[in-house]
Parts: sequence; C-alpha cells; structure tokens
Amino acid sequence: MRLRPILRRGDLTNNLLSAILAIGGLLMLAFLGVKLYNFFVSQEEKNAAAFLDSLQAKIDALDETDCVQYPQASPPDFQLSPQGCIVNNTFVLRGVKGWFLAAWNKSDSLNVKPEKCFDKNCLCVCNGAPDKNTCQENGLCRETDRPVFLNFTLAYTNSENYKDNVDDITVYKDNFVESYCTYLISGLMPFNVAKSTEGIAVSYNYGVYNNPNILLFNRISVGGKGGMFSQLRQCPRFLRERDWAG
Amino acid sequence: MKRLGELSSQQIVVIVLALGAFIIAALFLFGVFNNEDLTERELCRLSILERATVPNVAAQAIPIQCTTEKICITADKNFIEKVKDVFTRNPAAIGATKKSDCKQFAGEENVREVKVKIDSNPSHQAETVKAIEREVANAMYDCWVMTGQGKMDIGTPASGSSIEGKLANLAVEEVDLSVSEINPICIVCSRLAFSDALIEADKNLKLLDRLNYNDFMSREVVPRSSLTYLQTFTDESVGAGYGAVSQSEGLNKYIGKDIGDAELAEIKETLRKQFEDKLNEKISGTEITHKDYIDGLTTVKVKNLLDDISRVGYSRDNQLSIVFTQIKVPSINPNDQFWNTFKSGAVVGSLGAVSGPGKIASFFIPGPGWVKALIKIGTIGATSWGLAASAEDTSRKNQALSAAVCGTFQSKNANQQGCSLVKLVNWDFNTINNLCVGGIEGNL
Repeated sequence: MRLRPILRRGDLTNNLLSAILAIGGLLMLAFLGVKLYNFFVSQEEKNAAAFLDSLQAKIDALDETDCVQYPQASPPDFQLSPQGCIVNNTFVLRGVKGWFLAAWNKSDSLNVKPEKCFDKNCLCVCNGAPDKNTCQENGLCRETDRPVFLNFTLAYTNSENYKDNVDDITVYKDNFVESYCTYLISGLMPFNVAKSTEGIAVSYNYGVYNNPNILLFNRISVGGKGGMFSQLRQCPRFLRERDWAG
Repeated sequence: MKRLGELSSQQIVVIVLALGAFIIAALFLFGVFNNEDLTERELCRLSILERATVPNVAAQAIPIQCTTEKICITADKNFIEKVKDVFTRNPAAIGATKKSDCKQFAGEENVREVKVKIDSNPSHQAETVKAIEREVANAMYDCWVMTGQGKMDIGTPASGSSIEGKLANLAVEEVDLSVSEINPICIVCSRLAFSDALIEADKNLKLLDRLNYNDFMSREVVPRSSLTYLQTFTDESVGAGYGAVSQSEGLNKYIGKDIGDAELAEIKETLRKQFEDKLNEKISGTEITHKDYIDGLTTVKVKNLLDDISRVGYSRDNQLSIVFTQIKVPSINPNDQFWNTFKSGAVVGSLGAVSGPGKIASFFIPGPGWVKALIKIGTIGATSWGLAASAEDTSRKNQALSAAVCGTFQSKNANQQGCSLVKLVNWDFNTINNLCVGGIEGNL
C-alpha cells in the first residue's frame, strides 16, 4: 500500500515560489523566442517597405517647378509625351533580394492587377514574380497621385548564342529585353525617375553585354539561371523581347 | 519566532533578485532600443556592442541600429539671396518640410546642412576649405569610434571557403583574389553631398580642388585631443606624419597609366626608399630578400598589379560616403612584421599601408595574403577630393587614405581575427556594391 506523502505547512509556499519563478522564466523565454522569430520573419518585409517608401519619397521630392520643357529636356522614350514639362533625377537605393518592383495604373483591368490597387495608381514591391496574386498576398503597394510607368532594359549582343550548360539556359545572340518591372538585388541599384503632370516614369538601362557571366552591380549575372535576363522575363507583361537589331 | 510557512530571508532574496532581473531585462528589451533620448550614434554603438558580445548563434538576430548621417555641404547665401529665395519658392512648398539644398538627399530625412562661404575673400576661402576637410575628418573619426575602433566583431560572415589556400599562395605571388571571396560587410556611417549651388558658385574659384583630406588629417588634431586624426587612427603618438604617408602616395600616380621602363625605374626607386631598412631582410614566408624582389619587378608584373587597382568606378554624383567595413581573416602569425604593421592601426593608401617609419606594407611586396586582401579593400573606390567632374583625373593621384586595424576581436571569440577599415569612398552603386560584398548593415 502506497502512503500519501504528508503535506507539511510551508511546503506549498516553497513550491509556489519555484512555480512562479519557473513560469516567469518560461514567459521570458517565450517572449524572446517571439522577438527572434518576428525579427527573422519581418526583417525582409521591413526592408522592402523601406525601399518602397524611399522610392516614393524620392518621386514626391521631385519638384515640378524645376521641370524643363522639351526639347531642352529629353523625356524617357516611352509613355511620357514630349510635350510635357519634365523633371528628372537618378537615385541610388538599396534593394531587397528576391523582390520585384512593379506598378499598376487606374486604367488597368482588375484581371491583371492586385485588388489592393483597385481604382488606384500604385507602385508595388512583390516577393516573387509580380503577378496579380503574388503582389496581393506577398506584396506591399503605395498609392501614387498619377500613373507610374516602369521600363527596364537589358541587351546581349554577340556573334553566336550563349548556351549555359550548367543551368541549361540559352541567351540568344542579339537578345533584348524591355520589361515593365525589375528584379531587386540586395545591394545598391540606380533608378532614373522622371515626372510630368501626366505621369511618373521609373526606368534604367542595364546596358548591352557580350558576356552573360558579367555581374550587374557586382551582384547578379546578366545571363544564366537567376540572372537578370531570366528575372526580367518573369515579369508577366514585358513589353517585348526581340532581336537587338530588330 | 519563525513559523512554518513563513518566507525565509533566503527566499526573499531570491524573489527580489528574480524580480530585479525581470525588470532589467524588460527595460533593456523595451527601453534601450526605443529610447528617444539616445542619439543615433549611441544607439548604433550599443547595437554593435550587443552584437559583438552575444554568442554567434544569436548575433544575427540583433539588428545593427546604425542610421547613415546625411551631411549636405552647401554655399552660404547672402541676405539678398535668402530674401529672393523666399519670394521665388514654390507656393505649395512654403510651410512644408524644409527641402535640403542637396538634391542627392531628396525625400530623405534628418539631413544636416553645413553652410560654407564661397566668395573671393582669401580668408573665407581658407576657412571654407578647412571646414569641408574638418567635416570629412570628423565624420571618419566618429565612424571609427562609433564602430568600436575595429575591436568589435560586427558579425561579419566568414570569408569564402577557398580563401585560405589562396591567401597562402598570395604570400609569394601577386594578388589574384576577388573581393567576393573576402566577403567584407559594411556600415555606411555618413554620406556627404555637395549642393548644386556650391558647385556652381565654385566654378571659377575652384576651392573644391584644393581639398586634401590626407593632409588635413595628418596636420590637425582631433577635438579635445592632442593627437592628429592619423595618429589617432594608427594609435601612435609619433611617426605617423604626412612625410611617411606621402611616400606611399608617390606610387599612386601610376595607377591607370602606361608603365614603361622609366616608370618602372621610378617605382623601384620609391620601393627601395620605402623598404630601405629591410632591403637585405627576407620577405616573410619566402626565401627572397626585399632588394632581390624589387630588382626582379618587371613592367608586365607591375602593370598587372596596377590594373587590378585601377578597375574601379568613379562617382558622378557629387557625393562621398564614409564606410566602415570589416573582414574576418584566417589564422595569422603574431610575429609577422606585416601583422605588427596593422595590429596597432594603420592608414591604407591605394598601394600600401603606412603607420609610421619602418612599418610599411606595400601592395607590391609579397606578404601574408590577408594583408594583400586588406590593401585590396583599401583600394576599392578610389576617392577624389569630392568634385565628381574631375574625379577620374584626380582620384588616381589623390586617393584618400583609409584607417585600418587588424587583430583578435576583443569582444567575443578569443580566436577570431579580423580587420576593420574606415574608408572615404565615392557614393555610387558600383563602388559600394564592390566594397560591401557581404552586405550593408544599418539604415541608409
């Protein structure tokens, strides 16, 4: 027969103290754990928000009273009409690896743009190729007061096609990509921003290369798997991909 | 009389200590990193200290809370111009947040403006040149202090796995090491921009061409100190004067130029002067003396070394930055002369490091590979005195010096060695991305 231990006076006080201390310790550990988890999970998102806010602040800070009338100022060769008075500047911003910069305008159909951009012009960063769903679920957007047009170009020109045997990707000779969105890297990236009453143009010409292994911005190769060519091709509405000569 | 169930004094002490610990921990978690009374520099220093002292596994979870200081150097307008400005300003902008004179900082907050006089008065001109030089020197010094004078491990990722073998080979051969293998990590302490108004006003006076940060730092003392900026960086009370520095700079003019027999002879002569007390000593890790090595240099070899340095980008943005960068290095030999050069601090030029007479490490002379790696980082982003218009012409000749220190980090792992530099570089994406391959910490 088992004897029940006799509970003496004072035992409860001792056990209660240990229990309180133990619970307190566990709560502290849990709190620290949550803090650490939040840090890892949201740091990338914080960086993405910081990038987007910086770009928007730069666009807003372009003072339209400083604008220059065409033909003194050459407008970007797309969207903004040469008649507009244009103010422009080039900015360097830190990107977020794996995210894309994209934009949708009021006139775009809801079939192609995220619902958060319903009835708005908006500038977005999306964690993944920027389609309607990715940007709705894993993206951040900021409303802009006028339409935003993105244009990023990259060209490869050589006497023959480049076949990447490791990643099984071919970069065709005289390949040219002009894209509505761009891929962000973890380092600094340049952006040309032009603004007129009719819209905002964010663009950059990444250049013409004859070797796909060259690193753009010391961070991302021109060709190959994960290179800028393949990233720009992920933008669902790229304007055109054609022969450089064409 | 003590009763059963009554709290003993020991229990009371435990409870008080436990409560105290909870309160301190809570204060630390909620208070320190959200305390608006702390300046940004103090926050930065605290976060670096914290990251440097926690175990490696937790270090990456601690954010570096350093925010880049933005300094706009602009022309001081006279009264009439100021009044004119008020009346010609965009009405929509009146009442809005004050816009910085430097368009490089458009849309950015907390920009500090430094106004300098640009006129034909010679005493004003001297003041202006000195004021700009002092801003740069102070920003470098503040960065150096804020980041722990190179004694803190800021959580730099380890260098590439292939680096040890390469570094061993570098001891006897020229540099063939990419910065991506060295993997430096950066904190951008400050960005300095020159306003359009200043550039315009200086077009005829050419005051910006007179800027010479190296000379200023070797001549002027740090506020509230008896040591010059260079002496402070090199931790030496004597012997770090400009004479020693300028010897190293003598080689800079060859970067990006054709090297013929005449240039080769000049370079050899400069190296002989730099190493005159070591000419007959064997180069560490080799069986060859300094003299024989210098005599054996060829135009091809020198050109290869110089080409490696000259492949840098130049800014066109009238903007400079002060960047703290750190690398972790494999084991080092404490008796090595090169190690001794760097462990008390040194100034690194584009082709070598000087921390005092007799302590010269040259990019040309074989030495421990990681010293070459450090000097290579020192060469990234050759910086002109600040005028982008003439950057390409001037930067090759006048590279600003970097402050460097190498050693065992005092903060954490007793076996972890590393090198830290504070560099003045042009603010352009190619330079910064090339320098900060391991990443950029903090808020830009």
